[in-house]
Amino acid sequence: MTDIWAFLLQTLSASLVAALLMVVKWLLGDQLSPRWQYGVWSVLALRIVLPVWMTGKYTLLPLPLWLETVKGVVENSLDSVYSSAYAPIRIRFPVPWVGGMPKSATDWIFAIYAAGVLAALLWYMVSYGRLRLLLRHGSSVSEEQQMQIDTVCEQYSLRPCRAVTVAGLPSAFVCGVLRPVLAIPAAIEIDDKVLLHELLHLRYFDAAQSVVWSVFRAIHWCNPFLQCVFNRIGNDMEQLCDQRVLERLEGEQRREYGGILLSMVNERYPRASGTTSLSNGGKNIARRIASIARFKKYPKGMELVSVCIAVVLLCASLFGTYTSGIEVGSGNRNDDWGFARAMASARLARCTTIAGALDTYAKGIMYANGVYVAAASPLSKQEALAKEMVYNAKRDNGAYDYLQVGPESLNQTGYGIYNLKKLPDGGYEALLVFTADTLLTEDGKGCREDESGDLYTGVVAYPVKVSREDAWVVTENGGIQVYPISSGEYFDITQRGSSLLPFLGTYKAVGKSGTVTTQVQSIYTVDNTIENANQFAFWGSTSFDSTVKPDAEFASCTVNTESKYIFGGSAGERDALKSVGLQMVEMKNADSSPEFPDVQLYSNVSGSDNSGVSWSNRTILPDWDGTVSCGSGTGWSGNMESSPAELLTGYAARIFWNGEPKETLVLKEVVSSGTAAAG
Amino acid sequence: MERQRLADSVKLIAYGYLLLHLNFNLGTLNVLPNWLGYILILRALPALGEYEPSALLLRPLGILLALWEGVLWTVDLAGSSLTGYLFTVIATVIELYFHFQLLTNLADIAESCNCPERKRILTLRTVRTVLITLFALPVPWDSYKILTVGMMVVFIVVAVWLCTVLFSFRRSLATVILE
Repeated sequence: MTDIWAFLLQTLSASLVAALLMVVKWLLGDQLSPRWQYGVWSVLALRIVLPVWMTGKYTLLPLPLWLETVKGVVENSLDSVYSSAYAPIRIRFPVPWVGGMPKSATDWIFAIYAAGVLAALLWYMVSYGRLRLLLRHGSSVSEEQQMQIDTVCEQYSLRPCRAVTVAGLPSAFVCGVLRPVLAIPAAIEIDDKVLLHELLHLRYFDAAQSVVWSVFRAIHWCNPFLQCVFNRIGNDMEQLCDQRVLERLEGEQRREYGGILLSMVNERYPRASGTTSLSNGGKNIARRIASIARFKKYPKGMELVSVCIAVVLLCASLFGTYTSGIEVGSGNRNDDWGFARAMASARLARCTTIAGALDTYAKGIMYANGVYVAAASPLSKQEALAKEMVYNAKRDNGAYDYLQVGPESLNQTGYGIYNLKKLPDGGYEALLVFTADTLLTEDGKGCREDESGDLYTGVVAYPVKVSREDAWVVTENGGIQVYPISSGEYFDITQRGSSLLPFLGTYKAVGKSGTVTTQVQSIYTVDNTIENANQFAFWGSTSFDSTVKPDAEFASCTVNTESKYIFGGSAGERDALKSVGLQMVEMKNADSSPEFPDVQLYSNVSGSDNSGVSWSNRTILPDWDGTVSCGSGTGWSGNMESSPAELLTGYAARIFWNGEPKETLVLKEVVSSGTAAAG
Repeated sequence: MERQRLADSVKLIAYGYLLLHLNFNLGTLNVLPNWLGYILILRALPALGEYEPSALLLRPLGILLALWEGVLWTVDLAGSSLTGYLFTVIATVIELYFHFQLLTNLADIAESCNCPERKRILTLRTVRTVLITLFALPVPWDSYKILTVGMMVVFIVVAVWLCTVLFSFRRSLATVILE
């Protein structure tokens, strides 16, 4: 924990878990054994030890979001060196670490807290040291006492340890972990059951557990609720030890044991880390005596439900189950807390997949929503984005989340992810493609018109790069590209693609009969379709899901190819031609020979199949431009995290003259990406 | 007479479990509400308590579960959904203990009345407890469809079997009474 917010998150989360355990223990009362009553506190121990938010999901309550929101507001006006308003709270280890001189008020609070932890630990160490010093001055036990200790050990199969007598001790106790010492009051006869109690503490390493709980106490010294909980844990440990004692005693001995506890109600007892004592205060002893009166041996079958309940509590407390996602909030420019909460959610609900990052960023662009853009952007850009949104809201008197990326006003009907390509550094590049009903003129003051005065519609492409930082993030990777389309033209940017847009790659081969070029374009999609049932008919309609999906997976990928053959023969050969055909196949392996399936080449007919084979046949007319084109579209679905549209080894072309195979060419990649092919 | 009361109570519990495991929805209205199942079980506890005193300790937990199911039923009826993972966790914990202890008590009663259903009740108790625990874990079960379907099938089989065994237990008790 390197700042006060990390500590608050850790301690409040631990408090929440402790409260849950207290409620469950209260509800179940003494239905479950003292073993479960104490053992279930291991859930709290794990919560204290493990950093909160390590799974990226909320456990029980959205504490990370609440604290992140408050931090965003508070730190915005401070100049902290330990934390930042725009960097999310991160806990790498559950102990405080001061990294530099404090500067702001929150820095000083954290520094004071850290000093308190050191002071608490020091106090525990000093207390323990003083106790050990006291014991060092104690006397060895008498022969009779040693014999009594050995008899108890033998009777109950327990491990003995060094024993000393000390004058003035109110009760017996065990001190130490590595070299434990059993301290017995001098000149007082000790009952066997007292020795049994202390030796059972020794057997089950309760002193070591006491040290662990003491460390937790020190770390959370300023949390009064947890201090009460730690007291309760100590009492549960003693009750468990009582249970173990009673299980070994019979009949009247149990009543006598209760009597011994009763006699200790008003006595002092040693409290130090690494020690255990039969007595733990009058009020607690009263509770323990009540437990003794209810003593029963819990049936074996109860272990199963005890474990199951502990597992449910453990998983709920540690692993979490949900995230609240990206919350845009009211949008009201005067709602500072709403804005802080929205930006906090953008810092926490990071994109876990490539598709999720692209979907979130694309919707941010489409809806001019800066919170969405922030959620998919590197954390280093959070501050600049926040400031821009605040500026926009004040300037335009508009929503606090308004952020326009690029000059064009985009249609909010969907987007396409074009030419997703893996880069050597492990990132990806792609084009986010949108449509626009109008396009701005160059001066930005009007809309573009064609020669007949109709407004141009268009396609707007944003080159982006997706890389892995704290999560998958998107950054701009070049200038925005605008492609006007005359009114009346239309293409589905999520399906068919267009030669207007850049290609993923180009392949080419030059042969005796001519040149063949193939251009490849891929389109990935995320499923954003919402089915709207029509209650009055059997059919329904669909609409676009505007909710961002930081965890999205790709739903489909379509790879479109456009191939073109350019005649390269002589004039005489051209005159002899009646028809020219082109057949294209994919080559996944550069060393293998291309396999061309049989195809019927009918006049002026083109076709393709799902395996990437395409063909076309042209009847040669006098005005033939010397080219034959064909195309194909191949679809994928399933896990596409590693792009299936990685450039293939090549394509192969078979050229037909007058229906007969003329030449086979193997195309190789010539350009890795580029604009539309000329011609 | 006592045995007759016991047999009637076991019948109530059997019907209670039937309501807990069966849902029949008319729109947002569940006409076989779970809260009614818990009320039937609560009505049966006093008779059970005459044979197994620890069964009476389940009453406060049963009331809590009935209230919780009532809240859920009401929220569903209004076409809404309840958010509150914290309460769900607490309800799951209480449910685990409640049913485990209740079935343990029934098994003990079967043993004391020399009915043959004891072992089956204990087995069903164990399987049911484990399944409920698994479903309560924060695992994205949607991602493991085959596993989820398998567990659902097992749960349905256990639910049907449990009701069958409880009705059989009730018949066994009635047979003992006649004899």
